[in-house]
Amino acid sequence: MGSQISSIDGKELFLAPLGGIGSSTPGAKRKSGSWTLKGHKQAASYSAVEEQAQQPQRVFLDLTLQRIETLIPPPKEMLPFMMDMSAHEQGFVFRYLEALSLESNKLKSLRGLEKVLHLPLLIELNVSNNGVEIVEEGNLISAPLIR
Amino acid sequence: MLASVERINLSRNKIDYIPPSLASLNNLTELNMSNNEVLYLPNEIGRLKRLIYLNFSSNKLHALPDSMNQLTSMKRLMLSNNYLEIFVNPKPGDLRNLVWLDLSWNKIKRFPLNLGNLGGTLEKLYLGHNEMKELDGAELKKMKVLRELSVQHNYLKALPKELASLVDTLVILDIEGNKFREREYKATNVSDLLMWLKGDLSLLLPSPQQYRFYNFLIGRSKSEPHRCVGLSTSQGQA
Repeated sequence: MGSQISSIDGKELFLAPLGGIGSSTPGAKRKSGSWTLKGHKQAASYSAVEEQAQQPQRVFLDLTLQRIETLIPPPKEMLPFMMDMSAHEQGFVFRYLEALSLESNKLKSLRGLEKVLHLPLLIELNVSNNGVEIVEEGNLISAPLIR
Repeated sequence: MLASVERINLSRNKIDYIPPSLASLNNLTELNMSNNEVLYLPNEIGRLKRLIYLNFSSNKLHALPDSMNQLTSMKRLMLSNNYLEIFVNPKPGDLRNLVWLDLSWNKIKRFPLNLGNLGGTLEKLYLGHNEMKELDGAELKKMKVLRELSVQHNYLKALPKELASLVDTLVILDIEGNKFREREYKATNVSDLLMWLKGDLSLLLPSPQQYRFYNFLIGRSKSEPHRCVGLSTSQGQA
């Protein structure tokens, strides 16, 4: 198995380290600070063997500079990280994300983020350099539906 | 389910309000909210017991909640470029792991009260670009592990005698841009700076021969305003 880089509509998703999807578990040992969000170029040169030996497998989704304006409905780049997608746009559930970067997009609201924040594996969230004006009460806590 | 998220970066947005539910993120260790428009912090922030790094630099904070004293894991607290006039008043044991405190570019007029209670761990203290007229020597003397002290661009007229007690730990002292008395800061180059320091501070030393103190002092000369001038550390040489 190697590092997995998939493509949706020409945009790369970096699922890393190798075999990231489905291989991380809630009890997986984490070494705090030992990893960061990685860009696509870095992903291409990833040393799979070294990384597998050094740290547990993780799933990063780097959506930096994707011109994303809202998380409701979730951007298509997130589709591989969701399950139980219903016809109702608010019924989505995320899974197995450990790090998410939405840096330098066009978000004005964090609505939808609570679904991500409460993933049991999520460690790091980066929403810097957007246009977010307010953090609403529901953005940071679990909510059955986004109103 | 408790949120597992440990690091959140919301810097460089336009956020002006932090909801109290922030405290529900009880695994949070790092929170970067710099370069926003936050006006105040919720008192609940003190419940984030695992928080190690908190950055609210470049916001619009005018005050801090007392509960910040309860952030017992906090190591780096970045609050520069706000409108703070006072810092929280730490009691012994408060913020007991704080290593790095940045309060530069605020409106602080008086050296923060009881800051010496952080003296067991505080290594870097940045108070530059405020409005202080004097430093509290008694509080500084309690800072047993202080390595960097930055008080540039205040209204200081003198340095306290107690500064000499930091001789064994202080590596950087930035005092540029204050209002030292005429006989004091007239340095235009490194040599002048040394002479000034020698003339002024040698009197404060327990032993005038221990010029090692000078070696720990770093300033910026007027001729090299953008260069931090470091002096080699060798005991007995000024």
